[in-house]
Amino acid sequence: MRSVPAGELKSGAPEGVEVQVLGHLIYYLPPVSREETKAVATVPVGTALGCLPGLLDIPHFEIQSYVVNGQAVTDLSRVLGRGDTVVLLPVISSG
Amino acid sequence: MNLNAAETAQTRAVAVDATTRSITCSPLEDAVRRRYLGGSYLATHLWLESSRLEVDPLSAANALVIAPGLLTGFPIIAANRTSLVSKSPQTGLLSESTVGGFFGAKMKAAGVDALVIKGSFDVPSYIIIDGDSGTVEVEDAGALWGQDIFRTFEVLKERHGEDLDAAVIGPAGENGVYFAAVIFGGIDSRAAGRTGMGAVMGSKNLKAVVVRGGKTPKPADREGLTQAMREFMVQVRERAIPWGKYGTSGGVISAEAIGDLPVDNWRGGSFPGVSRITGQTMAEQGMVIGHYSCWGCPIRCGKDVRLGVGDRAGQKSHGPEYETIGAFGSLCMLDDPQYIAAANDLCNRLGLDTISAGCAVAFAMEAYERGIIDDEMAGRPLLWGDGEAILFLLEEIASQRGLGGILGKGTRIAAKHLGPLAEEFAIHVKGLELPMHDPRKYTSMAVSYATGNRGACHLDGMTYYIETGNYPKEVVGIEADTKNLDGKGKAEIAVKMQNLMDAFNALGICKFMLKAQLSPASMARWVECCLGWPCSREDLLETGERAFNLRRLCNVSLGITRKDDTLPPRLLTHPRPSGEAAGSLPFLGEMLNWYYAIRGWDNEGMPTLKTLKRLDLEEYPERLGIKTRVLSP
Repeated sequence: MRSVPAGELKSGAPEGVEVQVLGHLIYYLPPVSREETKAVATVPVGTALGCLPGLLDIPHFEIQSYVVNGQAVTDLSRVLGRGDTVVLLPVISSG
Repeated sequence: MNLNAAETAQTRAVAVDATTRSITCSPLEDAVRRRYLGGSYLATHLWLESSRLEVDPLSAANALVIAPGLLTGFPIIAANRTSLVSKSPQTGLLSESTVGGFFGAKMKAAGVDALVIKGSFDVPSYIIIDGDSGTVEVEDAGALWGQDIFRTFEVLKERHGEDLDAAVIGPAGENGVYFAAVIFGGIDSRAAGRTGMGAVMGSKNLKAVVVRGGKTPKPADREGLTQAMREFMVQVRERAIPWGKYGTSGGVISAEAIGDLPVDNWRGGSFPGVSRITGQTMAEQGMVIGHYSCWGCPIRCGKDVRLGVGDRAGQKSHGPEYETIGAFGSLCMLDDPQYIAAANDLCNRLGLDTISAGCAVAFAMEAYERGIIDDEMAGRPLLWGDGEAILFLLEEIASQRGLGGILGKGTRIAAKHLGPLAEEFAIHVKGLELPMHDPRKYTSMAVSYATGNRGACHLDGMTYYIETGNYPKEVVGIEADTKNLDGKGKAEIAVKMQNLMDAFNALGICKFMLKAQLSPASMARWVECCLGWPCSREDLLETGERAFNLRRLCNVSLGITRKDDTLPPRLLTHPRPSGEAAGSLPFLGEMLNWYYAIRGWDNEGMPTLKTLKRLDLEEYPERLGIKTRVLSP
């Protein structure tokens, strides 16, 4: 697993919210090795879910679902708080 | 035969009687054209005019129809598909296989909208359609019989020029492998892989169909079409072209991450080696050396790779795509992309469907693990993840030697040879092995696979585009709340996407245009611009529905009922043990009830008379030998 910074915070900053990125979405983040299947970014507390694509430079239509603390969330105005964990699942992009 | 015999007709069908070597050309009546459009639907109609459903698939009485889509060959983005329709030796059903590439556009340029091949040649032969000279002729293929597909393609180019395309079979088709493919484009391969159309060609002693020359058809409203393309290109540029960087193989890692990629002959949940077999890794490792496109497509999803193992190591080949990587990779627990590429290359040379071939190999590996097959029967150990074992089995299947003689009939028949225990892990629907999308993840795929007219086919429904929100449900009239789907909603998605996909098949448009959110309304506009006919979104969706129901009626005539609309027991009773789809199983019975209700079929899966009347298909039960009294009102 690779940890990469996003937004203005550095990776692992205490005020940050951890965002796990899976599947081909990892290739939108800084280079990862071919042994890796997920990447982790950190975004500021107070970020809205809907802002994640722009912040992480991932096209919004490549994200199938936003999972916050283990639950799929469709309300993209949801604001991330301290202690939240987010997983971004990719859409199928295959034949 | 001179094509100019039908010069005054706008469109024409060429019929080759291989037994008598007579070739005729006749115009397609306007009413036929407008009703059946082209591609799979037109080919199904022409097949029904030529053959009877009860024919032996590998007999001379089984016609083979090759038809480009209605829009194929026009200057339209990704309008390049061609359909092959015949009775399948693999499923025993009237089936189809579709392919991209350049063949269909060249057929259109040569002035041929459909090629109907009946009978059987007495010696190996090939058909050449020459759009420049306006002729269709039969040539001797004695020197080509037994040659692999790449070599055959090269010889045909030496004989007839570089600008040709050809549909070619390899040793697998010649030897009657039930899942033999027809390969187009030589090394830059495109495959009509599914349902064994290569075996049908082989049974006719037909090595190839060659097409060259002619002129691209002109749209009725060039200005309107140019404007429509300009508008659609915006969506293609944003959503589809970036995807071409790695092609379908770029999606392997995501499919595994979300629990869609089958693992270990459908027993596993996660595949630890996935990151080693993705398109991204193949590109990083320098395996990918080029990209190529089908006719009229800016995406360039086709990849050239440099082979690293096998008897063609060091040479260029077509890169493995998503389905092939799943079939030979995670399904067989192989995490070496070089061996996957070599297996893909071998299938393209020998003429094997990579999906069914990979499934047959995985089936054999599980049988070996369970002691049903031993070293002597297999000819060597068949251990999971062993690339050499895969290459060995592919050669055996294509030549129908040893265990390959059993596997080459498909897993359904192979399991019957190996006993009841083997039937438990033969993963197919109606005899067609499952593609690499797990119906336990997106469960609308379960009902789509179960009801697919040619068997388990992801391209029949592609319902995951709706379940993932990757395609707008409104454009196909889906009313269900896709964020909170129940059995009814999933059934509705399956019905409406199957109808849309049959419209795609009739028009000849690549289904990857779903990625660019191509709508039926846009497709209807393209029909108007190209043909000058009035056409609406509703017309196209109803045509898709009519085509799907006609194929269902053919299946009903062949004895298909609700009992056949099911999935292998493993996928109904064994959840994936790990990963994102762990624990999920499809509730197929409930979805099937809703599916039949939405389709207007009875509880046994037969279209009702009311439905047939609504779709103007009333004539077919009698034509197909179905007693109307068995159909509900």
